Amino acid sequence: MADSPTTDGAITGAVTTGDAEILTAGATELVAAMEAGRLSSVEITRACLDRIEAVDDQVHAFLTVDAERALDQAAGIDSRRAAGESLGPLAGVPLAVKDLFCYRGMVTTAASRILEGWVPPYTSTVVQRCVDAGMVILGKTNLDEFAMGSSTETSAFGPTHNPWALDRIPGGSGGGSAAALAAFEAPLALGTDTGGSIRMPASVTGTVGVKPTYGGSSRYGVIAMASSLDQPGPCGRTVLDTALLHRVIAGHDPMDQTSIPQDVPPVWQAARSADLSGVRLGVVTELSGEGYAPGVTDRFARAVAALKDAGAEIVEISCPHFKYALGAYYLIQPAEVSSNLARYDAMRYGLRLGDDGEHSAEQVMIASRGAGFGAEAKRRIILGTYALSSGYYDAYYGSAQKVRTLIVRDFENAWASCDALISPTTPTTAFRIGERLDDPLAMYQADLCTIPANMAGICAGSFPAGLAADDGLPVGLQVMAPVLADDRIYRVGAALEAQMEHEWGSPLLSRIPPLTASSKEGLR
Amino acid sequence: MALTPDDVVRLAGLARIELTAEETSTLAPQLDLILDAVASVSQVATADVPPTSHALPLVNAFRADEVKPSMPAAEALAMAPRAEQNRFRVPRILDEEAR
Amino acid sequence: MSVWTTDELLDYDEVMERYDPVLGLEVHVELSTASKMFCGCSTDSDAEPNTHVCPVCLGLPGSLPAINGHAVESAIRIGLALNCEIAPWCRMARKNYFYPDMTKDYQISQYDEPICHDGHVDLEVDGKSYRVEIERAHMEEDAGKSLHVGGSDGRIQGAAYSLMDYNRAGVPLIEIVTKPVRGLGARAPQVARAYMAHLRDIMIALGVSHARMEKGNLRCDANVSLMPKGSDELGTRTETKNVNSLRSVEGALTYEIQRQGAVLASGGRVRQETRMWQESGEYTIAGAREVRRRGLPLLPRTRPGAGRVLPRVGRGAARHPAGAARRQAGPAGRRVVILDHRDGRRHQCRGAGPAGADRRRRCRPRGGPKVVAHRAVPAGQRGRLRSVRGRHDAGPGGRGAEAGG
Repeated sequence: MADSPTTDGAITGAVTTGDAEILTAGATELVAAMEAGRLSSVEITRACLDRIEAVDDQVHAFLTVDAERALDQAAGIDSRRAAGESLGPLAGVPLAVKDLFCYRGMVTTAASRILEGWVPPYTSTVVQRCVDAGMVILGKTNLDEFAMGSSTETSAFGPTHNPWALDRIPGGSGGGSAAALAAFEAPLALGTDTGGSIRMPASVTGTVGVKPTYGGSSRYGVIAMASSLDQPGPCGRTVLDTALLHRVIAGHDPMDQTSIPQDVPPVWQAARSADLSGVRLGVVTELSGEGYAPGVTDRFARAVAALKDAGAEIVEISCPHFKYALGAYYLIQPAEVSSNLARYDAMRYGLRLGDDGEHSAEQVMIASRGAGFGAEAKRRIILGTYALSSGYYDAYYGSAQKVRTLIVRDFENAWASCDALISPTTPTTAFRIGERLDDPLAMYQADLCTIPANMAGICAGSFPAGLAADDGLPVGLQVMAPVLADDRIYRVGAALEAQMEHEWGSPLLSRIPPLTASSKEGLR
Repeated sequence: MALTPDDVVRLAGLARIELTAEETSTLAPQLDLILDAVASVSQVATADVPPTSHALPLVNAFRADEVKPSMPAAEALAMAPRAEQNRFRVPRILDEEAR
Repeated sequence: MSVWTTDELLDYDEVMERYDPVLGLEVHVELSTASKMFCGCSTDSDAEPNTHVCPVCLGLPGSLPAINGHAVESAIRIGLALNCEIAPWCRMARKNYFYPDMTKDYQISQYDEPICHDGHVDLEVDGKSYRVEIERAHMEEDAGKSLHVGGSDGRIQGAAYSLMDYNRAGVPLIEIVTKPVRGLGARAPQVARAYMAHLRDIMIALGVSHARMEKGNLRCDANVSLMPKGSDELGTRTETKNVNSLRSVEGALTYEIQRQGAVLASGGRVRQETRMWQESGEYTIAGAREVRRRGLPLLPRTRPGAGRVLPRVGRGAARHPAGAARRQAGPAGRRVVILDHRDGRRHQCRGAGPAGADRRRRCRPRGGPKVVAHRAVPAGQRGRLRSVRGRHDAGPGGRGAEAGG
């Protein structure tokens, strides 16, 4: 598959249904075509909707699609553009939104039964900014229930399939958004990243995903999982597209008092540079070795060499406390989850069971939460309840918060000797659907490399680093940079993208096995 | 330390989650394994390390005391599983044995 | 596990011969800010049900609280008026409990880092002065209101279901908690009443609350226990809620002292419980809410000592136009010194101490301890006394309670 030759090295070969040129184009190209009058937003939106219609029964990236509303929005942008209005750099470009973002009037479920059919009466700041920028909302993408998972398998509405190999997971929790990009169903998507939920799916689908600095984008209207770790961010197929979306969504929001009241770093400019001269990159010693698939280790080494070719100086940096990050994460995150998910109590909205006049409010709560939450949600709520219970609070939650301090210090030490840190994004390529579902510890390992950035609140991104030699599946390279140095993420990403295209002769996604409407060609 | 099925039932009770017997028997050993795996945090969490609760040290982010439009009551109540007299209707609050 | 309570009362003087009452008062002050603690909804309490609600105060998925700066200022003003230390740092915490009136199933409150702590007020009752020490005053949000349908008298007991109005959810509250107040002797209920009256006057003078007890702007949870004379050992306390008038404060405490006295006199043990005071004289024992308090991150920390907040408030409090406020500002204008960690400067503010209490409202002298009518319940009425199984390990007012272990 991966080594099967593409027709002419162009990415359009990856799409055999619908309008391949529109579907494989980057957002910047689409906007240029709209500006030049060669394409309309309606045409682009229509192409995406047709593509979703054709292939999403195989991929299952979307939970909700609102074609009518999308086409209305697109038509509105087209008429504004026709009227000569000056529009933003992503006006008219379709967007897939992780189903964790509230969008007024569109069902928002967090992939949970407990919120099935819930229609939010308000819109999250990030989605509002996209709408205000003229972007067209196609619909809501699948995720692990309440974003808890690394595979999109814990969704109450069925798993999403990785377009590179339909029997594989697309990563998680934002597998739907990443798969929508890799399946050419949407040129851009929104994700949220609590422990790697943007980066890990980007890595295993050969796409780009960036977790901004904590507080760099507003969490208002984004269904909370772990408030001190959650961060909305952009997902795209190219570094420049992702940076453009980053710029649209980032910035201070008075509705989120944890958002940073400072200017957004110049990510867009950084994404246009492919030169790393004078940039010192630190390879994290602890994020390698045992547990890392040979195909990943090999591709990572070659990507590091490519970054060196782009002018970077490479140093090795030890972050000795990263090995405790996973443990601390799985105490802090469930603790916050147990509190944040308390509100799903069947009283004001969402699923209510057993309200027959016989049962009390408490009994109705217990029954509704028992039926409404899936296995992973229950596991984490109970784990968090335990970690917070008196008697264990200091040993667990308290210790985990101290580990957080140690991780922050590791990063601070690292910034003294490098500009950004790099590592594989995830220790393996996409694993098979079902493979780790009954083994939570194996599942949690997928977030090994991505968690430290959330713990410290720094920014990080994942960029395609080629295909693993053994299974032909995408490998991602993670870049981590200091607080509010998000531009460095894009600078390294852009350099890697240029190097990879040079090595492979075309974007990585041109190698993806084509999905067709009828056949199961992608199924391995 | 071992987390027994009884512990799991008690914790689920605190979290107001009904578990089937099967869920309880699966969860107990799983949670035990997870707790074992995360226990390493206490090794390095020595007394001299201060805790970090929030990634960024932002302070004094305040909102001005201004009234903003509220939602129409009808919109709020439209979400309710049951509503009556412009209020959210909830099952009786006290348990049978407490009445 | 229904328990019928037999509220036998012992003669007040007899109780006083054997025991010293120890009080603990928790007063909730509803602030008169225009908007709620964490959102822009109006705090107007006379509105139609559920017309002052939004995604934030309804606890909708994805919504986030945004602190009302004016409420923080009011908290500092109150703290200064109560001679409290103003914490250089404080933060909000989550107090977790499942209850239909709490839209997030946690209340945003303060736990280990309250904004004000260690203060006192001086009171005069019958020409004798008393000092009530304040443990803390912290910020939190109010809960929604329930209307119980299908029971008798709209009470929660026996109701078929309840109807929730969340207009009040998120209205800013300051909870003022005293240290255990000892050595009051027979005047304990009167001192408690004088304390409430004093708080009410402070709030009105500072202009931070309407302080109308009948409207629930000022609510008291009264804890009392009996300590055998000559002993240092505190007895088991009970908490009486729903004490919503000055008269009730005195009445409820007198009653509870007599009731506990009767329990102890008959060789029984006082059970730690939360009781609801009814103006009619009936009692119910409330279902305690199980509470787990955590300092989980939710909002940036507040630094009341930071330049922008405290100096302005300090000056404002000292300059308050109301004459009463000036008197309450304290005889010498106690200075509160806050070290600003950011710039290392010391910010000084004039404290508004209530030491020179407002004379107009001083408690009128009264004859010795007055026994409120005995309220041993006639057998025929006992059916109206109901109890709720006390299945929880901490009541809502439990100081620093951490149940759920």
